[in-house]
Amino acid sequence: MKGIIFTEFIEMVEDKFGFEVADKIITSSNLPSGGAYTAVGTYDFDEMVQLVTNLSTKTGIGLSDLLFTFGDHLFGRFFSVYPHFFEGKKNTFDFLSELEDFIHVEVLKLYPDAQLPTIATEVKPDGSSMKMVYKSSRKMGDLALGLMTGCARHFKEDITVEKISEAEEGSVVTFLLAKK
Amino acid sequence: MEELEAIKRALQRERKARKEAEAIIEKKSLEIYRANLELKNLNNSLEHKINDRTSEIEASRQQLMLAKEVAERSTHAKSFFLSNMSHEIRTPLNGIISITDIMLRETGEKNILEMLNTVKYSADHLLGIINDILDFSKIESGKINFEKIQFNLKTLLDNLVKVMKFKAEEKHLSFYLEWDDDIPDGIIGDKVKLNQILTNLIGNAFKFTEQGFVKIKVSVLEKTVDKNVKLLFEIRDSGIGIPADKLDSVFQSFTQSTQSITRKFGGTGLGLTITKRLVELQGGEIKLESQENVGSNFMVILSFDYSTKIEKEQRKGLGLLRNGLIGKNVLVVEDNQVNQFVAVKILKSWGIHTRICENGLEAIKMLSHENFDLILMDLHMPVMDGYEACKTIRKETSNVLNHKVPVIALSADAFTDNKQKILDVGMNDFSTKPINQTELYEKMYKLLKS
Repeated sequence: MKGIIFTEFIEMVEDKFGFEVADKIITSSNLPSGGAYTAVGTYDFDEMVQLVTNLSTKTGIGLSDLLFTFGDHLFGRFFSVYPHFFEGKKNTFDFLSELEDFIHVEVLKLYPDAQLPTIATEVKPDGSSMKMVYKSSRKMGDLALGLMTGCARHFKEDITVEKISEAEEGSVVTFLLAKK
Repeated sequence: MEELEAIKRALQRERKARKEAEAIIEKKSLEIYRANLELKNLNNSLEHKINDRTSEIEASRQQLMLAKEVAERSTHAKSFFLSNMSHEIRTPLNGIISITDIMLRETGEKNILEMLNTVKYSADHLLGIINDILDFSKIESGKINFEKIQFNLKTLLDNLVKVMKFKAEEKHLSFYLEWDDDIPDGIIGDKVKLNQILTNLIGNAFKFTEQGFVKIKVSVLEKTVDKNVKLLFEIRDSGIGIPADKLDSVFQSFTQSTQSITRKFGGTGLGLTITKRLVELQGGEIKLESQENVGSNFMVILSFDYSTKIEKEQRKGLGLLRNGLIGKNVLVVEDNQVNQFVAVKILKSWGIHTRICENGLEAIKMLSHENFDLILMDLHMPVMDGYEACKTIRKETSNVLNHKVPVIALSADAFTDNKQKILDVGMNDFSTKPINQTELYEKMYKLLKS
């Protein structure tokens, strides 16, 4: 998993829960990296699992909720760090439909070893809703949900995002985004 | 305390992460450098390849230029040979025909007349064959020009019918022209070549038809606002026809539809090929429909520009005075002795005083101290040819007494000597060889009465 996810996560924990909590979850995990993450590096996905699990234990907040909150926050961070990916994108559906074919393709050009989820989208002809199928062995459906919510908020659109089905133990998740 | 320790550890982690990031940057920088180097090398090698290719192309081009020059020289040599041969062959033949003509007019004895007619027929036939062969050679070597002069199509066709009528009468065939009134009066094109095309097709029609009819039909296919008209000429006959499997080959050189046709009807087999080329070189089409023992229809489609402003065509009946040329002084410039003899004889019969020069240079010398009413100038002579001589005559700075003396060119070869070239050097008109007495008289009269 790309370093940026880790660096943003740790920073979010430091800001929201304080340095001590951040330090605690790192030291109580078994991290080959030692918790030293750079955004341009790549680290074992397992480290993220440990960190998030430990955070949930420490704070008492559910795993799904934590990932959702992180996702929502992370979208804004993506906008700050990679503004070029947002050029010309006018609304949520536009952005999400092009995620797989443009953004992920560009990421792979620079980071061929990146492991990214596959995002398949289908917009209803009248543009009132969109279906998205998320596939990933990392099973971060909740993170995806958070990111989409952050996305709608970024484009200032009133869109509800909900999980409508799940398969293969969460490796495949189907979402429905509906304009209110 | 706990927090301080936590911050210390966080700082250490930051340090480590920073160092990792720096290592990544170093690695990426090296990669970029190497990639750039490779790019530069590839660029250089590409440049070399381009230079090599360019040199190759340049070398090819040089070779092609040389080959082109060689080919052009060869073509020039061939053309010159052709022109020469044309002149060499036609000159003695014209001599035979002209003298025979004169003898026919002068003799009264019936059996001499019969024999002379046979000589004339043979000579004309031979001339026809030679013309065919020479025309064909010219077409093959690309030496054909097409004129763009206004003429009256109806008049051309009427004349054609008049001339070929006797053939129809000989064989008791019905022969007529069907004409579309929509055809414009002032067609612009090469009337000589069109005549040649139609004469060939009509001649064939007569040749291969024993009973029934030969019909010429001309109709308008298309007429456009920018003064262009597409005409369809149909020559239909009720003759022996052509078998379906031979329809294509009749247009090919040297073939006639069967060996027995060749033996029965004769001919070189070149006529249709020449006709087809003449049509196609003018951007037209020639098609054939035929049924054995029923008849044939040869169709020629040609486009012409036309003008609604009709230039007055000289009427044939000028009110010619038979004696309108008596007493005139004419200089005949001609290198061939037989042609000199023929020309002088004809002119003398019209009461004209003649002088002879053998080439252009002699003519210039003579014209520097003697005046003439008109000059008949052969175009092809040694030392100085007709074109050069006329240019000199017209030059104000030359020693010729009268720079504006009327000059009629005598041309044996309507294909190579075209009217435009003749007019460009300052000649007033041209007449063909063998001399057509009526035509020459008219042209001389026209120039001398004004």
